[in-house]
Amino acid sequence: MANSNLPRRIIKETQRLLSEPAPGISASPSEDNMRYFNVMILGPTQSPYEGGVFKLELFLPEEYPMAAPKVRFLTKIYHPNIDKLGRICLDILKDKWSPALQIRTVLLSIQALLSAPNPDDPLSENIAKHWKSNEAEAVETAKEWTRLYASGA
Amino acid sequence: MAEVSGRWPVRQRKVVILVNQIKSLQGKFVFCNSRHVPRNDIKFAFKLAKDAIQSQINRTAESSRIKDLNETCVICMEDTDVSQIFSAKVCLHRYCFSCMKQHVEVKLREAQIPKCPHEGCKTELDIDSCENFLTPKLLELMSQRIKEAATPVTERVYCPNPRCSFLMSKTEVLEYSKKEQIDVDRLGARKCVKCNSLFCVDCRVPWHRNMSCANYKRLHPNPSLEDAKLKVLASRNMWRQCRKCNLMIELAQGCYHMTCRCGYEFCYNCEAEWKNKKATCSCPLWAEANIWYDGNREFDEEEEEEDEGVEFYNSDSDY
Repeated sequence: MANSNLPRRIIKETQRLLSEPAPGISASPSEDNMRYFNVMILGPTQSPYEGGVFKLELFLPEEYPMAAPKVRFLTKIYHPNIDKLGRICLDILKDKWSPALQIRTVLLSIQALLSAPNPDDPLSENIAKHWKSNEAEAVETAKEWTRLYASGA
Repeated sequence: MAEVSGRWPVRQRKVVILVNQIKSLQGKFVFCNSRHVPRNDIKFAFKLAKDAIQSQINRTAESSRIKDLNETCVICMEDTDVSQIFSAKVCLHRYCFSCMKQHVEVKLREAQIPKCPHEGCKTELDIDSCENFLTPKLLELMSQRIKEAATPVTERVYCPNPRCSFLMSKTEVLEYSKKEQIDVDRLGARKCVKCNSLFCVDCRVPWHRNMSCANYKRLHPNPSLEDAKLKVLASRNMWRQCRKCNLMIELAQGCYHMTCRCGYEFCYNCEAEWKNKKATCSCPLWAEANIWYDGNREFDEEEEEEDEGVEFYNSDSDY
């Protein structure tokens, strides 16, 4: 099984994620592939995503930690930096990745992105336009989507 | 003070944590005595602490030669002999040679100047500090990257001898040519700093003997055979050439918004410039086919704003 050659780094990170989870974040490896994680992030308080439970998937490529983990939202979310397939626009997942960053730091950054959407660097053009033209209305839609798709029920 | 020395019991949670931290630190010292200092002396105390840390690091490095001392690299989490641990200048963050080599190589291949890997750390690595773990080839690539980054695009001259292609700055090659007694005033004659072959800095071709630049251009109206081949190859593969620095770029995946190494931003689809992070054309932001979704893997997210360009080489023939 591929898991037998798992680098020490991944084992250590996994252990720590399970024993000391970050507030509002849970990540557990899949049973048949230790490089694949099921992730849940709680919508941050005072954001339009408050009260929502967002499912994500995270995959550690062969080159990890020299290459960034691949992460995407599985729960539908209305956010200017997340597209309809759940793909995330975040610099540390691309050229700003550093091997000293960890799964934990990546997930904390995604949680922070929910608190601070950045419509100037959009992945979803329509949502970004909405955000810039009428932020209050866009926030309402985001709240609505959170109720509809991320209620955890 | 009374709390730290343990004479008073502590109740507030934050203070308890702080006191515990201090106690665990105290335990690491051979001798430790806490003392009140006036506000003005805090700087002095900080300096003492810094000197102590520095001497500790130096001592670790020295004693490693005598007995084996291991340190855990925070990247690979493996225990590594301290003689195989890199310590960045200035910021003093430490990682093992093996991880540093891989990190620097990845960044160099992405055409970035490698930095200390620590989160948010801005320390740029220099050649000297990387000598211990990089191969000679990677060291050469690194010095080339550093030189390129330090030379403004308009100052860059690449030797037109295809077997050389050495990067020089206009000033550098001018000074060298003068020293080598080349008549630099009359024509664009220059001598390559590395391979010593003569070339014309205006036409960017090997030296045209007994001929003015105007005459050379008249007799060679078409680009060289190699350049022509490159142009054909580029158009066949739908590569784009940066209008500012002539770098050849291929869109491997991602959106049409290109940010060239030189900073020029443009639309890959129609080549119109992007200004102030906005397109000046009405092309779509991306083609769905370029937003790669690899079904064989669990998934693959590869979109985003910035440069997805793969550089080939600087054809460099037009400026």
